[in-house]
Order: sequence, then C-alpha cells, then structure tokens
Amino acid sequence: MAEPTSDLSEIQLENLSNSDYRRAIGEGIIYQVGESSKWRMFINELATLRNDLPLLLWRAWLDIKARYKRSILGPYWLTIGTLTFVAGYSILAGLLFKRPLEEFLGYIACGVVTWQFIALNLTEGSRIFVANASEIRSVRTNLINLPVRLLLRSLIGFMHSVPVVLIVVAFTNVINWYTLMFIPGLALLSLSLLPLAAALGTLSSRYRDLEQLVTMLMQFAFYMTPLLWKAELLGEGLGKWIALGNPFYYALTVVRSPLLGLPVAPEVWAGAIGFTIIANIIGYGIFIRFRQRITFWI
Amino acid sequence: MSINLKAYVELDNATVHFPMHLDAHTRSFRYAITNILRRNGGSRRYHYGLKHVNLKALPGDKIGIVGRNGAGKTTLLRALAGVYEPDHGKISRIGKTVPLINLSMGMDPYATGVRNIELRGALYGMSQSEISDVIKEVRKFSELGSFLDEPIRTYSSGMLARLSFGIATSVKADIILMDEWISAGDSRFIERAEKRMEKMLSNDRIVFLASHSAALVRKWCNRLLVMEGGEIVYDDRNVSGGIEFLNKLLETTGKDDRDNVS
Repeated sequence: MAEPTSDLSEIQLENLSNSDYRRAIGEGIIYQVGESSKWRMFINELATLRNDLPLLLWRAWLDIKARYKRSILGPYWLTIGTLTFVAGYSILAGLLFKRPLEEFLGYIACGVVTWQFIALNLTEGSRIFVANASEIRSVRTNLINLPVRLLLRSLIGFMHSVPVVLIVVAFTNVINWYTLMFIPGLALLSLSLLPLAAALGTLSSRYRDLEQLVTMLMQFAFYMTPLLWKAELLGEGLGKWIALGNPFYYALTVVRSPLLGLPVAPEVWAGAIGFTIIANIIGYGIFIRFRQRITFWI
Repeated sequence: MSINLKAYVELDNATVHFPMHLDAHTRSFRYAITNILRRNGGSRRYHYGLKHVNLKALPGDKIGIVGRNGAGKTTLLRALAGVYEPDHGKISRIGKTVPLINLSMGMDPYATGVRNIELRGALYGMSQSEISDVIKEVRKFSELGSFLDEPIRTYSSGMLARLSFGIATSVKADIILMDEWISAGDSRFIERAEKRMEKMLSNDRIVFLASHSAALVRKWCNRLLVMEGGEIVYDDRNVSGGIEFLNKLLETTGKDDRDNVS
C-alpha cells in the first residue's frame, strides 16, 4: 500500500481562514463531498457561482453571438419577429374590441416581450441539464451555473428588445419616471425564474416527458394570462379570477406596467413578491434535494 | 496555488451507484403518476460504479488505473473530478484539478482555434490571464501558425489532435485526470509530444491515468491501481507486479463474465 500519511488534508484545512476556505471552494481548489449536508453543498455551489459569474456572463454573450452568427441584425431578429406578430395582432384586436390601435399596440408589445423572457427561461430551463449532459459528465460542473447562464442570456436578449419596445411605447403611451421601475420588476422576476428553471431542469432530467408538458403548459398559460387581452375587459366574476389567480399575471405586470409608464399597484407588487418567495422555496427545495442525482439521470 | 496548499486526494469509503431502473417507461412522468395512483411501487435497481473505495494520493504520485471494461476506471476518474458525487463515503481533494476525460467536448467547429482554447479554458475554470498563457503555449507548441485564427472545421485531423494535445498539456494544474493516453497524432510530432508529456508528468503533480495499455502504465506510472467490479483490488508502487496481478485476474475470472460498458 502507499505509505501512511498523517491527515494532511485536515491539518492544511485547519490552518485556513474562513474566507480563504470559501475562496478556495469557489475556485475549485478545495473540493469536499460526502459528510456535508445537501444544504451545505448548495452553499458551496453558490460560492463557486460567485466566483464564476464574470465567466458566465461572457459565455452567455458567446451563446447569443453563436446563435445569431452571420446575421446582421443579430439578437434583434427575435425582437423584429415579435413586433411583427404584435403589430398584426394589435390591428386585429383593435378591430375586434372596437378600440383605437394605440390602446393595444404598446400594451401587447411590452407584455409579449416580457412573456418571451419568462417562457424562454422555463422551457429551456426544463432541458438545461439534459442539453448540457456531455459537459456535466466531462468536467466538474457547478450545476446552478447552467440556469444562471440561461437567465443571463435571456436578460441580454430582453435588454435588446427594451429599446425597440420603448420606441413603440413612445408613440402609443408615455415614457416617464415610472419606466425605470421595470428594472426592480425584472430583478424580482429573474429571482423567481432562476429556481423554477433549476427545479424544472432537475425534474425533467428524471422524467423526460416533463419537457413537453412544460412547453404545453406555457402555451396554455400564454392564452390564460392577460397578455393579448386586458383583465379589465373580463368584467367581474369568474373571468376576473382567471386573471388575478394566475401567478404569472403578477410576475409579468411588475415589468410590463413600468414599461408602459404606469405605476404598479401595491397588491400587484405583493403578489409578485409572494410568487417569488414560493418559487424560491419550492424551486430550490427540489434542486437541493435532487442535485446530486442529476448527473446520474442525464 | 494561490493559497499555498499541498495537493492532496483522499477517497474515504466512497461508493457511487448508478440507477439501472431508468428505461423508457420509468422515465415517463405520466407513467410515474399512474403508478402512484395504482400504488404500484416499482423496483429500483442500482449498479455499483464504485464500491467502498479508499485511496490517498500525494504530490509526485503518478497513478495508473487498469482493469477490464466496466471495472470502474472512468467512474473513479469522474468521482475524483467531482462529476459524480458519492452516495456514501467521502471525497476530499486539494489542488487545481483538470480532467482530460473527453477532449473533443465543447469544441465549436465554427469558432477559431483561439476561441476554442478560450472555451475550453472556461470549462476548466481558468481565469482570463491563465487562458492567454495557454494560448501562447499552444501557439508555440502546435506549429499551427495562422491556422489558430481560422475556424477549426478547416483543420485536418492531425491539426485538430495537435490543438487538443496542446491545450491539454498547457493547462496549469496540481491534479491531472487522464482517461487514456492523449497523443498528438501526427507521426512527426510524436517525439516532441512525448517530451512534452514527460515534462508534464515529471513535476510535483498528482496524475491519474486510466489505461488499457500495460506498456504505457509501466513507462509513466509509479503506482498502480487494479480495479474490478468498482473496487480497488490492488494498490501498490510495484507496477509490474500489478500488471501480473491483473493478467491473472483476467484469466481466473473467465471470459463468461459480462463485459459492462464503462
């Protein structure tokens, strides 16, 4: 057998200050698994995430560049595609509901762009681990990095759409100080999408048909959420509750209303914060519980 | 290392098991729900990837890992890399670790050689300055010249091999995990490549090399692990003795033993 060693690792680690230890974990210089609880492993994962954040931003940027390589408009293609749809539908909706075009154009543009941000995170989130299987199985991958990278990528995409949408809004609605409030709204929305994407990714690496289910449900939610229609138009009664009982309504409104230059009602903020808290508890709960198994499932 | 630690690897009773019950049916969410409704438990089967593995490695250890297909060589490397977290037992590792397990992974054919080095460096968790060092080294070693700034889909297979060999041998690491020997392909290059490997293996690193080649292991390693059924059945500095042990093991356990895919 190899020559006996004193517990070299323990002696070395004892002499290490807490911040150095944290940093070494973050940089992947120290790696310890086994005795630590699942919660502890997740904390280590967050330390690594903090260390990797600039790298992830760079890779998210590369992802976008790779996707739109050889096209002059780049990420604006998505925006233009969306706006075509929005313009067409708005004309139709204006005629259908017998309202002026301005009432719908800005509203739908802001709503649909925000919705795309949500849908991208959840549908791609649900295949995030399966899609990166070869990387996960070849190098030590900080699993939470993958949904974070997806979130960063969709944030970059969203930020490309914002100026275009604001131009539309400038014609149909107003741009004022409320507009800036879309930033905290977007931050809150991002905070809730990250754990949801991580949890969906975890579950659908175990159950492969979940991915289709998520895509289907997002399509369903697209029509059930007041995006192409307004909650007020439903009047009182059941219709109103379809809108108000929908968590996406709150998550969406905290971004959409500011973009339209409108204040966000306190109860909507409350709803969005509540949604974020629940999404975090359930999302991270699932991810932390099954994180270790993901590598074996993919 | 920035914090001045000595490289160190320890596996303490590490056990990894793979789920064997995941087929088309059990992977279906719909099926899982109906199973719960019918109160049909379904059985879970596991296969040992690693079975109570104990191991300590110190700087200077060049550890060869041999054994038949499915004996757990790659699983051991992956567990060391941190890909598989053990189901039981402990794994501790101090030192920057680079797993050279799947060298073609993450290569983008439409990106230039330099960009691919950057991508690979990012996967290994290297900083920007470390990555630019690697680019310099690869430029010097690979003789790819201006091709490094061309998309790698224009490379010949020999050039591609030189690129990935260059990257693999330029990374700064305290612990290196190799699945099969990496070679530079090109016959003209073999001598230089050998020298480079020698340099990489000669210093104070910990190296794990999983291989099917007895000659390679005899040449490069100063310690040998023989694996069988997810267990380490031989661990000694006597490399030749280990290879004899392996040959005997392969004879005695017969050919009817199923050959799992690793």
